[in-house]
Amino acid sequence: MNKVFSTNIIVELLGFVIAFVFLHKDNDKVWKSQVLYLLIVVIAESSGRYMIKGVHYKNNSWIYNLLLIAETFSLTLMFNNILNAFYKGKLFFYLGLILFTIVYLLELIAHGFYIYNSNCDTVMSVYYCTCCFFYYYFLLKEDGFHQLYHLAPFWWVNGVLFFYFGNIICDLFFSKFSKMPDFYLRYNIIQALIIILYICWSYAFICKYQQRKLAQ
Amino acid sequence: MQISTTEISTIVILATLIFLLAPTFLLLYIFVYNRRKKRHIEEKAQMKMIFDAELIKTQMEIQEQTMQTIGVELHDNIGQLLSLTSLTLNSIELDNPEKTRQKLDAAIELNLKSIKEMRQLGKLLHGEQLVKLGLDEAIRSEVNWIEKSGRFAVIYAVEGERSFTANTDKDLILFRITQEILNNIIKHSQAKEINIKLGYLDTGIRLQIIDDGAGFNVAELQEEQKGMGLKNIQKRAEIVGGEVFIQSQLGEGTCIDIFIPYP
Repeated sequence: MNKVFSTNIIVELLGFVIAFVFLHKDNDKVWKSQVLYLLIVVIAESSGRYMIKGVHYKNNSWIYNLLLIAETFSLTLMFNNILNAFYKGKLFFYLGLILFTIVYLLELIAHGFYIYNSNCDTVMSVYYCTCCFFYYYFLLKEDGFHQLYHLAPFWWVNGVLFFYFGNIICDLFFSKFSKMPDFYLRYNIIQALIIILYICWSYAFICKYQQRKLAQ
Repeated sequence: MQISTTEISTIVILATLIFLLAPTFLLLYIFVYNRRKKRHIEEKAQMKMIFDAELIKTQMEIQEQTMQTIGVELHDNIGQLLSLTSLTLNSIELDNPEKTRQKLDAAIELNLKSIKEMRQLGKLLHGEQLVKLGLDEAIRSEVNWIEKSGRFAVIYAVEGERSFTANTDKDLILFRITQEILNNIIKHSQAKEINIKLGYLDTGIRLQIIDDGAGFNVAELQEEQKGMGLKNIQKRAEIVGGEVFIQSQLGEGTCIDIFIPYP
C-alpha cells in the first residue's frame, strides 16, 4: 500500500472524493470538470509513485509531464470561467494555453519527454499567480460587496495562490539544492502547500454546492 | 565557509514562511476592504431611507398646510360671504322694486366675490403641483396668497437663471422650508414687510427671507430647546446638504439665509 499511497496522494484522493460528492450534480460544466481533473491527479501521482517504489523504474518524469498538460488545461479553463464574471471573453484561457505550448515545446526540444519540464512548471505557476492577482483586483474594483466566506471562486483562487506562490519559491531555491543528499525539505514544503491547496479547494466545492442548493 | 544542511534548511523554511506572508496579508486586506464596502453600502441605504421618509413627511406637511389654509378660508371668508348673500336674498321685499334691485345687485356682488375667492382657493390647491413646474412659481403662489390678506407687503425677487437640471425632491424641501419660515413670520413676528430673494448660483440655490418684525434671541431659543420650527428648517436643509444662517435681534427683525447645493 505504501508503494502507491503517500500523504500527498491521500490528501489528493480525499480532495477528489469531496469534489465528486459536492460537484457531480453541479450545473456549471467547468466546475464539474474539476472532479475529472482531480481524478487524473490521483491516478498520475499514484502511478508515478508506484513506478518508483513498486516496480523500481528509473524515471517517472514522463507521467508528470503528461499531468502538466491536464493541469494547465484545467486551471486555465477555471480561471477563464471565474474571471468571466468581470472580463468577458476567452483571453485568459487562450493566453495560458499559448504560453504553456511555447515553453513546453521548447523544453521538449531541449531535453525530450523523459525529463521533467520544470521551467514550464515555473512559468505556468507565475501565470496562475498573475491570474489570482487579477481576480483580487477585479473583486476590489467592484462597487458591490460579496460574502467572501461563502464565495466559491474566492476560495478556489486562494488555494491556487498559496500553492503556486510557494511552488515558485521552492523552484527558485531548490534548483540550487536538489543535488544535495538527504535533502527532503522541498518534499515537506510541497506537502504542506498541497494540504493548504486542497483545504481551500474542498471548502470552495462545499460553497459551490451550498450556492446551488440556495439557488434551487 | 561551508554552510551546513541544517542552516540551509532553516534559511529556506524562514524564506518560504516570509514569502507566504505576502498572500496572507493580501487576503486579509481583501477581507477588510470588503467589510468596509459592505458597511458603506448599508450606510448609504439607510441614508436614502431617511431621506425618502423625510421627503414623504414634507409632502404630507405641504398637503396638511394647504388643507388647513383652505379650511380657514372656507370658514372665515367664503362661508361669511355666502351667509351674507343668503341674508340679503332673504330680506328682499318684492313690493318695493327699487330696494329689491339694490339688494339683488348686492347679492350678485357678494356672489362674484365668493366665486373669486373659490378660484383663489383652487389655485392654492394647485400650489403643490406648482413645485413640479418650478420652485419660483411655487414661491410666487405663496407670496400672492400672503399679500391677499393685506397684512404684509411682500417684495419677491429672483436673481439669476437656473443653469442646472431641476431636482424636484430638493425643490420640494426648499419650498417646505419657505412655507415654514413664512408661517413663523405670520404667527410670531408682527412684521409689516417681508423681503424674499431667490438666487440661482452656479453651485446651488440661495434663498433669503428678511422681515422687519419683532426679532428674537437665536441663542436663547436654541438653549431653551424651543423653536421646533427652526430646528426643522435646519434639519431639512442638512438632509439635502444645505446650510441655514439665522440672524435676528430683538426689535430688529430677522434674516434667514439658506443655501442648497445643486444638482
